[in-house]
Amino acid sequence: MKKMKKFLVLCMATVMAVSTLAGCGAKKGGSSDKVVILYPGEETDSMSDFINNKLNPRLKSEVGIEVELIYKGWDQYWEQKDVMLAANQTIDLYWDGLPDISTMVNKSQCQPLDDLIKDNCPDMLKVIPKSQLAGGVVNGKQYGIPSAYAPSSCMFQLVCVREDLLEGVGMSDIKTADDLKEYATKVAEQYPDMKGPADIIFKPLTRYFADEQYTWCAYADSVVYGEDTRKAYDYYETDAFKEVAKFNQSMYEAGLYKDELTTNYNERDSRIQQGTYIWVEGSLGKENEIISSVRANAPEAKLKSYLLNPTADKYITACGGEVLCVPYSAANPAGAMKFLNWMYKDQANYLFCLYGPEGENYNIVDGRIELKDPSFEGYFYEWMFRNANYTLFTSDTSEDFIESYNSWDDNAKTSDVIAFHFDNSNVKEIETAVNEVAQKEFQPIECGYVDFDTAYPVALEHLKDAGIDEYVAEVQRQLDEFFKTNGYQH
Amino acid sequence: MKRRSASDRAVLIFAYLFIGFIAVVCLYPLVMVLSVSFSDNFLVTRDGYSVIPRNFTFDTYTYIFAHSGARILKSYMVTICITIIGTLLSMIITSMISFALSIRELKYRNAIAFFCNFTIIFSAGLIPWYYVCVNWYHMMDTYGALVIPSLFSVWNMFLMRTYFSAVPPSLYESAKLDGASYYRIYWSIAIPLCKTAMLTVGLMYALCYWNDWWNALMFVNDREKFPLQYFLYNILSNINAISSGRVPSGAAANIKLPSETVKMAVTVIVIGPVIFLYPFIQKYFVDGIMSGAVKE
Repeated sequence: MKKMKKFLVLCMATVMAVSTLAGCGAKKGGSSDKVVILYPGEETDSMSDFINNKLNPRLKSEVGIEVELIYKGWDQYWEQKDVMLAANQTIDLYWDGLPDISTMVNKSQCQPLDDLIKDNCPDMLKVIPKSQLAGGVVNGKQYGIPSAYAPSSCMFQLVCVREDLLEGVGMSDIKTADDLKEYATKVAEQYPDMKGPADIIFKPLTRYFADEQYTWCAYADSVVYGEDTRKAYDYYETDAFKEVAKFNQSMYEAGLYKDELTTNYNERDSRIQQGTYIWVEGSLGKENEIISSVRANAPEAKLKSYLLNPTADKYITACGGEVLCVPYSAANPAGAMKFLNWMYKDQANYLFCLYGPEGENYNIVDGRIELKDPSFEGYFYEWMFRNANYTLFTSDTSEDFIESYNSWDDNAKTSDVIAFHFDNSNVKEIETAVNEVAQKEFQPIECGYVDFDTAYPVALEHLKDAGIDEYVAEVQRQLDEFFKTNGYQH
Repeated sequence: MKRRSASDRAVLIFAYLFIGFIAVVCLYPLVMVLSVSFSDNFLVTRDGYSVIPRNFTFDTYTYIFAHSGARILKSYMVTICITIIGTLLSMIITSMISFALSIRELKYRNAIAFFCNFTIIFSAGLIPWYYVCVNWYHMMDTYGALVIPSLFSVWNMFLMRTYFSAVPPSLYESAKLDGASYYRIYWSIAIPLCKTAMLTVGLMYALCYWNDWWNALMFVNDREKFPLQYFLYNILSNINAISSGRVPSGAAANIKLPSETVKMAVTVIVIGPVIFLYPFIQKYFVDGIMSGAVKE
């Protein structure tokens, strides 16, 4: 009996001691030379080896810092980021999408970086121009670094098409919505195994049908800014939206759109990668980003991006899509800036972060990256740190594309609202109501699955009831204030 | 033996058929999962799922164990360890507090029960819980993080207390008269009499630890410490990520989507041990649930 009593006492004491000792441990992440980066995706052996044995020794000797990556899988990245930052966990640098920067500022997730950049990032400022940095300014302060600096006009306005099928049906170019429909119809006849378009491409179609450039400038898709008329509009009341909806209805009625396009709209990118779909919305370079995934399922696939209405003005509407931020809980914000500055110091460092030491995974041959193993995916994400000043294309990229890439933004105009971040704090409830109507009623109309003439008037009435006019007026008010301070870009 | 009437036999036949039908409905997805995991991936993509494996092959399992075999085995070890240690510790704590609360002489027992009960209805929420675990207890990247947050379930405690309360107090009194302390009463009388409860609650804890991936998601960044469920969750969750529409297209192109056969093989790997064990222990589940349901 005594033995049992001692055993139980011992067990309880152990549990309590473990709990207490756990509470007495030293705080992690306090080391002044360590930079903790919250990074989306999964840890790989090669990345860990690169960080520990190649990058950190260099960073330690050259800048006096070391980086530690905390990986969070894509599915949980944003939720985990919110929880970790709310709990003041030590994170020195994290990535997010640039459109969310004002939300992050409202949630007090990121701190102003003006002084930190001035003190620590002289080299970075040489390759990320002020016009690009302006995308990370909210309320006059630099809260994030828009890290992906590259030609970007007509973002999301291109159609990335299966070029092999286009050639197969005897077509050579796509310039209009009718060309698209002809292409889809011919593919359906000649390649019955194909499942048709992977996307309803409402942004490329809006460019095609609109009389002026419409740039989305508030939450979701409800409000656009007319670059010529310099006014904010309810997107769903524009003629362009009506034309898009009618075009998509004609596509659906002709049996060219599958139902899954509206039920799983966000899966458009994974659909096109299956190799059985014929187009998807794109931006410059999309075909190169996804071609290997498409070819894994359709080895004969060739991709090419087309711009509908190619003679219309091209606009740069965003300072890249990515932003790097430093949270208030950062223990080493200066270290985070030093890391970025080191990466952007010169092309050698930049390529080192992306591909490792030259000669190990790649060689530079005639100004191109020649990967020793074509399946090598690199280390730090290229899309996250893309910089036009340092970008080298891989040897399988076509000359035509490189030529087009280098001159892509040459005649492009900069959008007036490129650095505008809508603050929704005054109209949160309206925004929620508007968004609900947009998702429930306007998305089926936009996709063409319901009859436009009967569904549109009802949906519009509901949208008005939700307060769209007040919402647009608030956007316009903030735009007027923004233009008073920053002026117009064109 | 009394001969059954025609109507009795009809009802019996109907009952067997109905239960058989339900069994088939329950078994069908499981068979499908097994079948697809042993099928050729190309044929599954082209022709869809089938009950009979399409071109029977071990390729998928070979692929999984060749690419992630060491990690899967390591994760298995982590899961087995946290399941055993967690269940033992949980049982010690839960049974002791349940026993104590079942003793009528315990002072403030209602207040203690209320404190426990309160946490079922009102919780502090995710962020304070996370904050305390990470910033106060520094559980980040520790094995403790996989065990301690799930150590005590109020629900299980109340279930067990019901069993302990059903033991006649006169047994305890007679033991006390013979000079037994509460420890001896707990160990020598209460526990043996409530073996069913111990097994039932133990199984619930064991399943909870076996299936847990949430604690790992919240607290573990070191791959060496990933339990099996979280390791596999990571493989499958990429599909949700791409569907969310928030992943940049540059990233989405490089996210590896598991094939259908890999998804199913992963499912088999996870549920395999539980399926093998379940037939042997399910009677305790049934006993436990029934015993807890009636209080006389």
